[in-house]
Amino acid sequence: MRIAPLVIAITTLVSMPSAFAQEMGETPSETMLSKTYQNKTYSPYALRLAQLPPNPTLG
Amino acid sequence: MHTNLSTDAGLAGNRLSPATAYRFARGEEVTSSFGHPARLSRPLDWLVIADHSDGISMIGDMLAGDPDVMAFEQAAKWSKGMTEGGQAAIDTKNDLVKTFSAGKVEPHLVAMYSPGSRKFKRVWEGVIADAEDYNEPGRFSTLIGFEWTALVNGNNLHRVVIMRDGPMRASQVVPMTTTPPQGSPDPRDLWKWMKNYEEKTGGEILAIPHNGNLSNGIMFPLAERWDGFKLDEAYATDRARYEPLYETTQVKGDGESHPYLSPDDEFADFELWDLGNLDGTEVKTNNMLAGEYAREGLKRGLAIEGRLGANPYKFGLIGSTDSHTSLATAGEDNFFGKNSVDEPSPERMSYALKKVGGTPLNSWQNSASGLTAVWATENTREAIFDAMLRKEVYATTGPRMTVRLFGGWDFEPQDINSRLLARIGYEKGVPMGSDLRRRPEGASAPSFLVYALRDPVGANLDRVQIVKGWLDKDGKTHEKVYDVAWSGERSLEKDGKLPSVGNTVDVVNATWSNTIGASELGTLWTDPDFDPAERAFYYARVLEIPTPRWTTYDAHRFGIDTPEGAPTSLQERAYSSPIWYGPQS
Repeated sequence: MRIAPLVIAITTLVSMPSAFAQEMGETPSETMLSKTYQNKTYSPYALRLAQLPPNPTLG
Repeated sequence: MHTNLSTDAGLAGNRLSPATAYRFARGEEVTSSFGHPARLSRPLDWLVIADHSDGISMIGDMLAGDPDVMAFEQAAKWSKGMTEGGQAAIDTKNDLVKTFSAGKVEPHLVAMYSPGSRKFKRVWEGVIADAEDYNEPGRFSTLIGFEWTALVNGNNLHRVVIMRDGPMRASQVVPMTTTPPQGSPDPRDLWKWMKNYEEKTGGEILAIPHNGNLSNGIMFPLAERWDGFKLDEAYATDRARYEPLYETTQVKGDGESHPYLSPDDEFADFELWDLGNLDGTEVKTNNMLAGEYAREGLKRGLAIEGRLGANPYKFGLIGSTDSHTSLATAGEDNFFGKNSVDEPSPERMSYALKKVGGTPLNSWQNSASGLTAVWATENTREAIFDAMLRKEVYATTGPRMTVRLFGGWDFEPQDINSRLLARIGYEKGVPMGSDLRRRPEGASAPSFLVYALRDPVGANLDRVQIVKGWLDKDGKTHEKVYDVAWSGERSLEKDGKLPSVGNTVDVVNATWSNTIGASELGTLWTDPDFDPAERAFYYARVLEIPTPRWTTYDAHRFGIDTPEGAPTSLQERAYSSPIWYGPQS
């Protein structure tokens, strides 16, 4: 459960445009995501894809 | 979750510490306060212990004969009564509650358990230390928190306060209480305290209100609070910022919807506690209900946003047990009650908890609910907190079903068949808890990708519904519940209703079969009534097929009848957080 998202994260990072990748490591702000979306080259939720959880966490 | 540190829990017989609560939640067997072996068949991933900050640990100290406390005549008397047990303990409990309610506890004794005292700080440091001891990032997370237990004339305004942070930041403060002069029962003062925490420590914090159903109309004010304060933009923005979630279901009743408010919703009458306020001193009237239930709160939020430009009730939906037993049990077949005196026994479902206006609130009405599911990137304090902040969470009434909801403008029918549903959901849309993206030119209506998978060892699913609320051009709010996916070969009837899924519950043997229902349900649903000029929210409600209620399990185990009036079965459910649409989206 902990490994899978990490693998996806690395894959996504490698395949992401460099300008976008530079933002990695920062919390994605809505502003950045909206700006990214405007040119429609890649998904505004690319960062979220890097974090896809396989299951909900229950408590 | 409350432990023996909470005054009311200690009074009701809870002798289990926070450490035991953590051990139980992570899957270990423990011995309950009344001597039962207790264990979860499936551990939880995380736990928030939120003991009442007012009077925290006072009862335990009295029982232990702490000399600081025994110096007070009142405390020494109560300690003696509790230690004697039997009728003396019952009399002591009643006397203690009465004295507290009347505000007649010796002021220096109150001060000893309030901010500013060394003892209060030491207790808080113990709370933090226990959380730290049991926090195992990646396996089991413990979030540091407490309950701010405000009561206004018996009306419930409780909030669970949760920190994102560890000991370095949490130990720079002590919890806020509600008793003046050290504390305040005003939520606006709580938000000031939270703001101060964030500024002082650089940490992050949120508060989750619960049991609006026992607030007698004051949980979600529309224009004016109980004290005459008129809602303004600052109130709306502060509340939205510090209270991103609402606890929609728990042991003291379900608070999603009410039949009076939602007469067309045949599932609105679920595990209700609607006789009066929290302490039973005021009977509830119908005009109070709109200020109490989550769906109506969400609708009021749209109306206030239309008026003030900010929505105070833009909250996601979660569930909790609020157990006072240190045992986080939300399952019907493994329910350890609200208080330790309600641990499994032949007597626990056949007495009145209290009388409200002459009508008994019965012990069988305790509800074995609920859980919070968070779409966190990993099982850590920080990731769980972050998921809560962005409202990517949902409530269940106990079962562990998986629920996904995404909203967008570009989904295609085949998207629901993808095995990478979340990938498509994030790419083309937004997840639960979000605002829809700006409406593209020419887009007619938003679509919602909704998917539910049953609890792997639980019951099949009956149906998935989308609940929509909206604000019309005249400033009136409306709601509609759409059946969007269902099991079997059923068709919508002329009145738009879906026939019942049926009921396989064997009451005598307290079991059921998955011969009806579906293991998974999903669809792409497009709003047929969308008006781009109207603010709206959409959330998913997922219903299981009927299964036995905890009272039915008890009747089977103890060879007794179910109490008169208690349903023998129920349809457990999940509530997703909403997705909002605004004309500016």
